[in-house]
Amino acid sequence: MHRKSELLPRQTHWITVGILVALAFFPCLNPGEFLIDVTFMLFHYAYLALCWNLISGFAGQFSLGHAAYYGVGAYTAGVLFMRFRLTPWLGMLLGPMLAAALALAIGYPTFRLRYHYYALASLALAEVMRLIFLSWDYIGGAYGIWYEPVLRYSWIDFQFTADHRVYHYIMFAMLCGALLLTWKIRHSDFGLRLMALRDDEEAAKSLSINTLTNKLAIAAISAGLTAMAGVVYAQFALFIEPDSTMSIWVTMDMLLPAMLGGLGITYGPVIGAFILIPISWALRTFIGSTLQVVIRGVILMLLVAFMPDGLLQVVINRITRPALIRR
Amino acid sequence: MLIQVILNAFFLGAIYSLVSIGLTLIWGTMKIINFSHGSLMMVSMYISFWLWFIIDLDPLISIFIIFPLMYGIGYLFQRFIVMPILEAERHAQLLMTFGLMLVIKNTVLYVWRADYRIILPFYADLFFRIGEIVFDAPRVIAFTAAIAFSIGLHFFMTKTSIGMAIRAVAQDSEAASAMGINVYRIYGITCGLGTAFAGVAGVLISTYYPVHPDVGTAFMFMAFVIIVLGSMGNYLGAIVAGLIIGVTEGITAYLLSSSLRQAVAFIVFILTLLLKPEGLFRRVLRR
Amino acid sequence: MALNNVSFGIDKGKIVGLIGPNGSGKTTLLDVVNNFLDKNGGKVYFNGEDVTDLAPHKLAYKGIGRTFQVSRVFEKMTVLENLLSVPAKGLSSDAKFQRAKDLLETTGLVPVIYEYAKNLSGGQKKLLELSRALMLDPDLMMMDEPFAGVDPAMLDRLIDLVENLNKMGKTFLIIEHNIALIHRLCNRVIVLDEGEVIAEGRPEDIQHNTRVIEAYLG
Repeated sequence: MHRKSELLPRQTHWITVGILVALAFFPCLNPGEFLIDVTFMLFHYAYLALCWNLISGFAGQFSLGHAAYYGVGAYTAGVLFMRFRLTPWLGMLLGPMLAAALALAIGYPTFRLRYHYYALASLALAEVMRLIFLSWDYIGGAYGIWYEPVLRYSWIDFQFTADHRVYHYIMFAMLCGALLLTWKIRHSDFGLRLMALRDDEEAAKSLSINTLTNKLAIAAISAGLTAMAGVVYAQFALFIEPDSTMSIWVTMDMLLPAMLGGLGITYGPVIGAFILIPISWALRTFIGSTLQVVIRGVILMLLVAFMPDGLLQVVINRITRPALIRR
Repeated sequence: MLIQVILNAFFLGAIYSLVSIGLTLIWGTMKIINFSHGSLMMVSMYISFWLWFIIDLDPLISIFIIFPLMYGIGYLFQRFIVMPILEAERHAQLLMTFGLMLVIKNTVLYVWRADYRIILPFYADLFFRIGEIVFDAPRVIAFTAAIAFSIGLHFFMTKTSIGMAIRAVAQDSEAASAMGINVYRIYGITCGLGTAFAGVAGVLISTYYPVHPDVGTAFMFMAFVIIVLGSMGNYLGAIVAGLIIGVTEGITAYLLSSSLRQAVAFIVFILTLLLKPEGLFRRVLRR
Repeated sequence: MALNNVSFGIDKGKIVGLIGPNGSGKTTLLDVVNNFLDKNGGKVYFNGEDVTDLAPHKLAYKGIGRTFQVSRVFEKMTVLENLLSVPAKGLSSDAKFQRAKDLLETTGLVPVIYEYAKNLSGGQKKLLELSRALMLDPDLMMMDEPFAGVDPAMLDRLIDLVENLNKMGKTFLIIEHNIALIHRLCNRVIVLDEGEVIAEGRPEDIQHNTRVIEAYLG
């Protein structure tokens, strides 16, 4: 017998990898900046969904305010560059640290209680931060931070307005990193402990699993990774403001793909993102951003009602129906 | 002017209490957090506005329409949204009401835009003074009504059989069921009642607060803090905690800055969870 | 259900039964020992150490294992994953896998090793829960109605397992209703009624204790 349990057929692995690689090398076809931005965003949201899935899908601690960490990352980069003239790459270090600290700060009091409290606290965190940043003039307030573009192509300043393909590749690298990390965690003892405490916290405790430290660990990791994406976004958009980085629909953008694709499944969020993001854009273009949120809220409710564990989980359930004869 | 601030904040606190009562009762019986609670309150604010705007109906009268309307909505909410997922995955309940909140809030935003609307009841300019302190008619009336409803609820919960049934279910739904109480019917009644109270709170606040899609979220947030402080499931605790939070928030806004008011509430929230997660009014949580 | 002034000791290497009418507080007692519930002034000693205020996971680490009345397996994980999720006290990865393998063989769960736990039958879940708890290699195993709803074939297997583990030095505290099983397994029995200990002794003696009979009938 082998140790790892591979429940999804090999084909799904290859299909996902295939799509990813194809998209990665897409820029070689010289498709133009708009389409490069599209692939960048696809990778971006897939990455974010993966980060969210780490704490919510694997550990079962639902974060409804993950946007807070995203905003922390973005603003760290923005403030470092615009206020202190420091390279935004520093933000890739500082941002995650701050985000992790925040995650620990709200995790510690709430992880010892029922999971609702963490959900509430995370939601509150994002909202409070958004409101504070809106009136914090030192870092832009409601006006936000507008970057002064430097050279059109600069690694030290983390700006590549001349060639968006760099952003594309950076995001692809990050996505691969996140995917790998997720996979490693999923198949490690740490991952097993997380899923155990998700499935039944008291039973996990009775097996000597320290649920608090495990939850804190994954919360910090998830927050830190999310912040890194925030940094990249700041450098890509060259403009950040509280509403586009820390509001509820930013969290929704992370949450929905993961829920659609498969909670607690390694590349569920990626598949969910690839399906959902094009749909969101189409919606946004044709029916406006407010109605689009309404539709996505409805989608969320329908998902919860009929496919609470996501698409891939439905696939797995089909495959692993109680079998009389084992393979 | 601190006393004035405290007074007005105290009046506002009573409205917070009303909103929180519904939330804490729903949690107490069904063990779910209704994220859409605030948005339902916001909807009743809009209904109150439109009734005033179109047919000149004073908000205080529209309570008689809104209470049963919101009760009905709450009951339907329980039947069609909560019931199917009561036994489901735990995150289902969380996300279902979260999704509903998004749908309601953004539908309102889409239909009625983001303009701030105000109701000017005929008593908007009335006031009386005691020395330096001004007592605004709308605030006083809203406060009085809120307190009246709270007292009414207390009588309901302690003197009527339905009220006692609700308390029984909140304490131990299995035991209550064993005693012959139709638990599902109680769920429906609790949800209806809770939403109705949120509706009343919405109407009362609309007499002096601007009507806007975001208002629901702001009150909802306060309600979270209040129900934790006042012990989840404890409606009396919610009433007291509502007043406490209202005053705290008012003082902070006055002494520091208005934008920090939410931050303070958040800090109170975190501190409560750290130091006394079971709230001020007992019911110790399991470790 | 509250407990009132319950006090007892368990000797190492014994199998102690805990019986009593429904609602007498048996599960509550286990929950209190495990520290899932507050003790309100009571104390718990394990191997000479005061473990009253230890968090549940630390207690488990010290060597107290637990199974539950309704088996609480990790539904969304496979049988193997259920076992491997238990932190290994100083075991290498290979040794841990070997222990899991052995436990699965002993309990006969090898055919379903890659099944999602939620697809198992009730009896299989009980076996899974037990083998999972045994991954800890606990000195004391507290079991809450482990034999309820298990079919006869698996029942024998379970009982053999308990007896073998006992011979190897493990101590057991078992909540059970089945008198025949109590007689077969337990050296000593503690009887609870309405939160109080009303009798203690050998199974044969308890059977004829009038207070006990009244508790069950009255």
